[in-house]
Amino acid sequence: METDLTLEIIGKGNSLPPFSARECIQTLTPISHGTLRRTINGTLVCIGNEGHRKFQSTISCKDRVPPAFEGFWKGTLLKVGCIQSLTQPVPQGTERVQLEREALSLHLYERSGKTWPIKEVGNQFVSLLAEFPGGFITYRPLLTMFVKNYHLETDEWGLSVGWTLELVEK
Amino acid sequence: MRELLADLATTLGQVGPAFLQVPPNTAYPYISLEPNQRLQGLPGGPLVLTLSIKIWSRYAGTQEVLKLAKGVEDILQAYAPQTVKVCLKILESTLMLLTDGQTRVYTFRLKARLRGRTQ
Repeated sequence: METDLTLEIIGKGNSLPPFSARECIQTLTPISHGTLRRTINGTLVCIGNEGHRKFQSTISCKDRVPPAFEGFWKGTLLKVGCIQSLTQPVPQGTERVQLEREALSLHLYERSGKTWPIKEVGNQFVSLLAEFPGGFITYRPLLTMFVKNYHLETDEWGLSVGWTLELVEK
Repeated sequence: MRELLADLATTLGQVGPAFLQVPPNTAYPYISLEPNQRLQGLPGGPLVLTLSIKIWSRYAGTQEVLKLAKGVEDILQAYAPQTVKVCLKILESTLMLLTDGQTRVYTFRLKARLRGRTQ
């Protein structure tokens, strides 16, 4: 309950003990890939592979207890339940939305902020009620990521532990 | 939010009389709960509430107020109510003697994060 963030070494469970992850901050950034080039006619195009559209992320926190990072090394594979959500606009009349990533929790809401129920979710597809007037869908992605690096720090007399974890999507 | 404050007041009642609105002429010591700020991000998402819990004492010296503060802190650290999905974080605590020279106020400033409605 203290955080929606989950960091799981597959098969070992969540690596966030109580009092280790309150007030976390997460960044989610697309990795650098592809290049912008001009055609012979001067039109700008992006030369890249859609399969390389991946995220990198940095998660940092300052709390009381250190996270269970023993066993985390560069290349360790984690299932990351993000706190940074992704949002896409949903035009009026849309009956089905495809999400770019697996979703952990979903919010469907119209432009006024009113929340709507979701009809059905399955395999990154979300079915909406026909009456939905258009708006946005926001979800927390579940990403499979590699550990890139991490940093731990303790303020002994301040009774606080800070940590930073750098991740790259598989 | 109201449900959380009411539950907190009831739970802190184990330490001493706890109020959201202190009745006139209440005998010391007592505890008061004051919500300071309420923040909601996403529609239907989690709610973050900043609040102060104050322990008021007129006992000569600090013994009574510190004993009550220890009791309150222990309860806050282990607070996990059945009725409200909430997590608390104590941000700071301070002890102050008011200008009347008799009343001591021990203040906990804390954040509460209440779960939102998600699908």
